[in-house]
Amino acid sequence: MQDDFSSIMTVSASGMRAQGKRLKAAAENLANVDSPGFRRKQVYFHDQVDRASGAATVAVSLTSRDPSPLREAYEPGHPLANADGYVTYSNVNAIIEMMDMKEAERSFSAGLRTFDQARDMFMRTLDLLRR
Amino acid sequence: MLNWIGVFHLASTRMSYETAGLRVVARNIANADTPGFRGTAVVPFAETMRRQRQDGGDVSAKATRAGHAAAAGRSAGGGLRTEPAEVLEEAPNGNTVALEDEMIQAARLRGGHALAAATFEKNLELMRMAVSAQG
Repeated sequence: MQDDFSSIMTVSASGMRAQGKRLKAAAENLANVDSPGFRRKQVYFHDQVDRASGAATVAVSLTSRDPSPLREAYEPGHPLANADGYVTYSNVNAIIEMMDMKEAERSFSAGLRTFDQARDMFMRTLDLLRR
Repeated sequence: MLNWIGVFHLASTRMSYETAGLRVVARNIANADTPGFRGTAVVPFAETMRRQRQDGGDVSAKATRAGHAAAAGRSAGGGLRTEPAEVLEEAPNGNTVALEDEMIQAARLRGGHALAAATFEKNLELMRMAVSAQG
């Protein structure tokens, strides 16, 4: 039983950690929305088995850069403008990043609730010993 | 410890069932955004018990003497059964976990655990009363 509780916590924590990394990537993307030539970072999740507890956890397997075309704007006076007067900005779409952040937040709180509930149930069981 | 007494055994079986069930829920929630992950569902406790009985597991009521009320079932461990969750919608990345359903499941497990813990506690109280009663 103790084992079950600790593995619930391991699993929930791994989920929260992964969502945290996703949030970090979204924050980096948003911060660089106007950086010339910046390609947005993408985070991939995969499930894995935690060897110590045998629990199926989740981890960020790799982060990659979005290969989609960069945004170009016609600004002839810009110091970074090319011969045709175009400046290449990032391929970050603020709305997509916002959506990603919301979803990460939602999944994070789901993980937190599970963690909380496991703790509650464990405390309830411990309470049996106190009387 | 007190597991040889029917009610205690049943209550602790139920509690381990709820805990193991929460583990499944935790796994689903942690993988709510993992591409291609298929969620698992926990078979309800009553259903688990029923199937165990069908499979010949020892959960039938037992009475040590003819006059005794039938004791609560003694199941063989908190055998948790899982099955692939019903797919209501699949995300474009092949993930089938629905957070809302997992939350409902978690609430159900919490309720079951509280019920079992309360049963355990009440029974303990009864025992204590029986032992301490003076005349």
